[in-house]
Amino acid sequence: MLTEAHESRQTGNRDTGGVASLRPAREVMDLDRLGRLHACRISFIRTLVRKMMREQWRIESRRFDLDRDGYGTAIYRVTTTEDVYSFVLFSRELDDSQRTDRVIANAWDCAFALVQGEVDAAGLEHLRENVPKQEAGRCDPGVIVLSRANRSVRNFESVVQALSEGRQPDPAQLARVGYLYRTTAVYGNGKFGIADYPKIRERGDFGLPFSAQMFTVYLLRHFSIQQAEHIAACRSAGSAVRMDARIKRYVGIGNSTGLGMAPFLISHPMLINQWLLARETALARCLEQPADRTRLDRLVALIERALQHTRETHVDDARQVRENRTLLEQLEHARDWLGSQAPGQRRLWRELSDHARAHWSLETQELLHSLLTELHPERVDELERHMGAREEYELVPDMTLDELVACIESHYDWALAIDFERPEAEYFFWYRSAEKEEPRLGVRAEDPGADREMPLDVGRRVRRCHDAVQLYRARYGGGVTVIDFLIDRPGLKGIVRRIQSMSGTTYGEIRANLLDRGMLPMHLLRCKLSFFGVTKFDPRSSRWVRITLFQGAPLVEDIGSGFEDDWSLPAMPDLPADDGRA
Amino acid sequence: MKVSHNELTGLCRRAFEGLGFPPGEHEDAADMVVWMEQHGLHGVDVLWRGLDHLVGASAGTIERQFEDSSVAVIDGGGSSVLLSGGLAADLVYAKARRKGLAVVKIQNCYNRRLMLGYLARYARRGMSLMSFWRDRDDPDVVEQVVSIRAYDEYPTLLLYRIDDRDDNLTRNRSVTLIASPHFSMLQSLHPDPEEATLLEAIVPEDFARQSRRVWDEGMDVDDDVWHRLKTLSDRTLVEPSEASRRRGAGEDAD
Repeated sequence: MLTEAHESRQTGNRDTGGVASLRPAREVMDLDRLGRLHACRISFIRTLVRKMMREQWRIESRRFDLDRDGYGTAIYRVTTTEDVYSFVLFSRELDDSQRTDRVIANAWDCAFALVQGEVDAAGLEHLRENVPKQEAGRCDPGVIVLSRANRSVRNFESVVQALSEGRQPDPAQLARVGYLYRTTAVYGNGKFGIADYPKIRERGDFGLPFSAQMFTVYLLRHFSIQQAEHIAACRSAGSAVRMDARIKRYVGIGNSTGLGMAPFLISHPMLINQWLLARETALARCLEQPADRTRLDRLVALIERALQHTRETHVDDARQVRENRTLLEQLEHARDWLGSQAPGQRRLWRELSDHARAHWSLETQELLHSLLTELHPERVDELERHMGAREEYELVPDMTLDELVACIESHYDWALAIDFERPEAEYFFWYRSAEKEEPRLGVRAEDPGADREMPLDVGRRVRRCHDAVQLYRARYGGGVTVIDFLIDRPGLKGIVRRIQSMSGTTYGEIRANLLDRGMLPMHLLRCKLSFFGVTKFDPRSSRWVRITLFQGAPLVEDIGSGFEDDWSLPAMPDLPADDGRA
Repeated sequence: MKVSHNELTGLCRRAFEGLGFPPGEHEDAADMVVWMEQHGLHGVDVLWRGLDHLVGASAGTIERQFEDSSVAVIDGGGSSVLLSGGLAADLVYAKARRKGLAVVKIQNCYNRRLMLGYLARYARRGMSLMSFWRDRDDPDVVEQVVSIRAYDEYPTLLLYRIDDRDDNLTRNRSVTLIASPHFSMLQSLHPDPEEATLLEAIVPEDFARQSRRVWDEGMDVDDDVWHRLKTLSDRTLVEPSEASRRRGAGEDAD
């Protein structure tokens, strides 16, 4: 596991003897900032693609048994350096009225699974019986990932229509909606009987968090393109064309995500700490590197691409529209500012970061930070190995109450600063609905269920714990141990253990009151999604977002050919008007 | 039905939450049940047999009948050790850390084998532990001895049939925990083979093998038990309404 101490050793600067410093937790873990993070080089899909290309994984179609409308069964065999896997997909006709991206849906355009090894006839029938049922089915530990997806109906139909008429799809349309399918849930880690994460954690292929899930989404992207081409060919065998490779690369996979992601961030603080620590370490290492002309030119080029990518990002949400507009203006300023700098041996990246912090929005700051990590892959990419963490907490029952109070006051000062006397401070409560256990947000004064509130209120629980400890300490003294206190107040064991465990981490907790009326759940979703490596955040409400994965990524047929790991923030391909004709 | 480790853990945690176990205790209780199940000691069956005792009980509430700096006696209240075992294990660990050796005895409790997971948890943190209890298995008495060395992953569990029909330890249904960071208490076979017959020895390799099997094959849980746990777990859920469906999570939330 990466630790701050480890980083201090690793980042020692030969020129100055200094150590690259990490940004403080009060800055990094602020929810407003976390909600402005962008994908970077060590986001999961970037790491996955690097691995897949480096190890030249082989992905072959083993069965493509679809009717003229694209319904049927597809199986791909995946051969890695370690193992063989099968991606098994069932596509079916879905009535428009059944097509919803909410987790409460019961039917989807396609359902699929990533399975260890080859699938025999009996195994296929078992999958056919269970995979399309998703949450209502039962799989076995041979299945690593279970997922489903819905077509983007307009996009899919228009792409198929274009191909069947011998035309290439309009890239502008794919800039607007960059995918043919949207996944609505991608299940791993033991859900519905599939393999537990520890089973695959020690293996090289999918040991990093979410890598198996991301790979499954990548294979869906491959299928979606093949399916569209297949239907087009069935419609007009004589005139249909295949999709141009440049457009194919511009096809990603969409995802709709709601509040389900939010509890994960709160219930996995060790993991979130590790993700942030790796990202901040990458940034700290890059900020300390001296600038040179080549890298300065590359950074300007990356900003130009980010500008185009942002211009081509279409959102309706008023807040995100404003943020993107500001981002565009400030990226232009950043480009111009860099244009006036001479690299020399200066710490120009540090100066840019400081300048951004002083003058530009959080959105701009964090996008620039992501771009800066692109300049020094040799300092960044190895950090991908440190993105995992065991979510284990250890009670220290022999700690004294004086020590516990010191822990709270130094690491949870942000929680103690929240004024819970304000009614707005406890406006919301989080609960799990009986409908597929979907996490939801209720208004305490209006909605039923506050008596079954989920314990996402870390700040409030810390406050209550601190108050109780102070009372107990006043009565029995600060030398009394935690176990004595907990025998008196057993209901506080969970939060005491969390405080003790997280106080040993660098970034620890997300510093926000998740009950506050002003809290924006979108920030939680975006924080997690940025680590997945998504682009084109398109909020549909304060608690529901559509995003795009793998847009710009190399294709299956690109594996084995030269690969420059430079596909983030893709720009719309510029095809000549007659390009792509059959 | 076959279930995964993560599924069973999640369901047990929510079931204990539904039973009223507070945060911290519901995770611990679930982890103990799943640890036993994962290692072939039928934790779910043990839970199933003791479940009725847990309904309406108050988890984490323990009463100390005697205590000094290195010894404590706790009243288990005639209920499952899941209610008191977590804090008892924390207590023996804390005392041993401070005094070098500690003994904690929980009197009058059931499901004592569920303590094994706690022992394994604290052993990983550098504590050597031993646990000892006796069960009535008419007409005989079965003595169970568990020991684990500091930093080991798995304990050794020995079961003996004892010819001691008027045994106080059996009558008061106690379990004794002994902990020390300085020395480990290695098991040897019972000193008096005339009085004790070794029934079963489960060694660390057995635990490790069982654990690997679970990752590969999942765990078998009886459908009725699963549904009972699901019913308890459902107590934590909120019935949906059209308003909650619309505003609570989705696209129309604002």
